[in-house]
Order: sequence, then structure tokens, then C-alpha cells
Amino acid sequence: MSKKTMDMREYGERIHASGRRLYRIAYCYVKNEQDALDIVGDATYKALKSLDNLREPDAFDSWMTRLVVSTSIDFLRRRGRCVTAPQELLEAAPDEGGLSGLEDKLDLYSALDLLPAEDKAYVILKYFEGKTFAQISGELDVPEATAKTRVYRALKRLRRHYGLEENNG
Amino acid sequence: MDNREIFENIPVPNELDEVIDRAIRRAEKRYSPVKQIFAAAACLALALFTAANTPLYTYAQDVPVIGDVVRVFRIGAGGEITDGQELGAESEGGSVQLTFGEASTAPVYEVERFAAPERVVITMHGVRFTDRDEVIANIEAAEGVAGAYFALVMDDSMMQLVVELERGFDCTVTELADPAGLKLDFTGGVETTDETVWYLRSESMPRGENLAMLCEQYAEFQPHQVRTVSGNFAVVIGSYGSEDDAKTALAQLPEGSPFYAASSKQYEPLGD
Repeated sequence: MSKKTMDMREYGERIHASGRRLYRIAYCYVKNEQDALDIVGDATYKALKSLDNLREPDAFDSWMTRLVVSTSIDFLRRRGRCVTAPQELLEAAPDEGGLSGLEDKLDLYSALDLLPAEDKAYVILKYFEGKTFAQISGELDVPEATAKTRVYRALKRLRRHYGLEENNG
Repeated sequence: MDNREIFENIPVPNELDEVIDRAIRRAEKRYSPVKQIFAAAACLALALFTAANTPLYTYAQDVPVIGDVVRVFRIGAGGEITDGQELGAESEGGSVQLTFGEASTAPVYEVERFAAPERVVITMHGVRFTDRDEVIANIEAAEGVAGAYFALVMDDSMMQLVVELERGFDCTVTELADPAGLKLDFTGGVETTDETVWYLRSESMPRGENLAMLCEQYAEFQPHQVRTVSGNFAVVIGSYGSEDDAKTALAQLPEGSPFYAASSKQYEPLGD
């Protein structure tokens, strides 16, 4: 067995170990079982084919997360983001519009559909996985300030959306 | 249930491990010299067996397929570098099988999906035609296919096949090996939402040099050729959920570009 094949087996095992998490991240993007499976499969293939680009083996898991995120974003772009906001989301509007605590009241899982593809990962890592800004910064390979900005931008966007809903109602 | 619980409770299908394993096998394939020898042997065996008209493998699926199932997907890329494989197509009911001469593995390909109109775009490298019209006629004969055409590409070794789906149909692709094939299965009964899709487009024009040149000129924006309702073609860039997003994208094109923001429904053919 060549060194390359051995590496692929080893990293393949690591993908298996985090497979359920990677699948759920993809699922949050596409909300469809078959598409989420395709994305994990494609990201796995891309990761193993480009192992040469992996600078630090320890960073493999976060590198893999980024690949799943970028594959999901590509997928949504190609599909023209044909995802509608489900009805229950519109009914789940919070009583008060304060930014803090918004994440507790909202059905963020449904609200994800309202966010641009680029911002979804930040909300998933922050509120679904409970990661700190420092951890998100490491995982998505962006400065911590960017992670903060993206999370707050996303929440602000959602609040604006709900604010509009309230005015109309 | 809080957000974390919702996330943890997203059900994970049993196929996940198999999907990952298949991706690992595909990635390994190109690095294993042993496999390549097997592929060559399989190719030779195939030549002998096809002479005797005996299928090497038959899998029990909806429609029996000849060949080894490499993977099943809706969008994705794969295949191996080949040169000058002859593209053919056979259809039966709601299935089309693209064939590649006597190759054992599919040529380098990419399958993408687009909406407005809903279509599957298959880009293949290192293939050539025997009979283009026959390929199109056989694809169009399949149930679930509204129409099919080839984009006009300057690069001789590349081919881009566009298959338009009928309303309510979806397409699953199966990559086959020994012999190589891409099997397209069209299934109906898909819920249609008739969403409005925004994009940037050019004026429509006949299928000719101008069309191919416009695509080349804006290659960095990943343009596509889309057939219009009258049978002309337009160059289309991107796919956006709102007019605002489309206009933002339009602002990023070089000044004086012939593109403008437009929209249509998911299954609606492109207007002129």
C-alpha cells in the first residue's frame, strides 16, 4: 500500500468519526437528505484528493468542516437558493425585538434559510454547537473579529426580518 | 427544544457511512497502480465478453444496468482522464444511459443542476461524437426529459450536455464502470414550488460564434448557455434568490457588459 493510500485510509477514518456532525452541518444548509449526503461525499472526495494542500495534519477536522461548508455554499448557489422560509418560521416571531436573547426565542434552524449562504456556518457553529468565537475563528480560518461580525450581522438580519413581519401584521 | 438539541436531533441516514466509503474508494482509485492494472485487464476482458454479447455484471435495479455501480448522486464530479471516447446514448422508459465506447471508467465529468428552467448540465472531457443528433434524439425519448441540447464550446475535447427536466421530475445520476457509463434516472412526483429565480443574462442569439465568444469572454463568471423559448440561446450567469442579490452580482461585472438582471420561474423556459 502506498503512503498516499495509507494517508487516505487514515483520514478516511477521521471523516467517518466526524461524519454525523459533517452531515448535520450540510443538512442545515440544504434541508434535504439526499443533497446533504452528496455534499458529504463530495467534500470527502475533494479532501482526500487534495491532502497535499493540508499544511497541518492536526487541522484536518476544521479543514474538513470548511470543505463541507464551501461545498454546501456552492450547491446552494447552483440551485439558485431555491429554499423558501417555512411557515412556522413566520409564526415564530418573537414578542420583543431585542438582539440579545433573540437566539433563544427563534427557531434558528428554520431561520437559517433566510441567511446568505456565507453566514450560515457561523450561526451553526455558534448556536447549534455552542462554540466560542475563538473556536469558530480557528475552525473557519477567519480572524475572531470576522467571526463576531458575521454572527451579529446574521442576528441583525433576522431581527430586521422579524421587525418587518411585525409592522406588516 | 433548544437550538443545540435541534441540531443533535437531525436524523442521520444509515447510508452516510457507505457514502463516505464510496468517496474514499473513488479518491484512492487514481493513486493505486494495482487498480490500474485491473482496469486494463477488465478492459480486455470486456472486449472479449462484449464480442460474445455477454454482460459482465448485471445489477438488479429498476432497469437492469450493465456495469459496476461506482456511485449514485445528484450533483458531483468524477471520472478519469481519457481521450476521444465515443459518446453514445440509449434510453428506456425514464432512464438514459450515456455510453463511452469501450472505456472501462467514465471520462472526467461534472454534473451540475440549475433552475429556470430546471436542468441538469453534464460537462465531459475527452469525448467525441459519433452521431450528435442520435444522442439528442435518444435522450429526448426518455420520460421526464423536456428537451436536450449541447452547448457550443470552443474547446474540442470538452462537451457540455444540457438536459431540461419536465415539471415535477428529478434526475439521479449513476456512474458506472466496466463498461463506463453515466446513467440518468428521471423520477416524477417531485413537489414543485414554482419559485422565482433571478440571474444575469444576455440578449438571445442564434447558436453561433458570438455565443461561444461571449462565454469565453466572461469565463471567470462561470457563464452558461441556455436555450430560449424560441430555440435561440442566451448566456446566463449565476442564480440568485432575489432581485437585490442579482443586482449586486451585476455590479461586479465589468462596466458595459451586455448582461442584465432577469427572473423566471423554476420550470419556465428562458424568454427571448
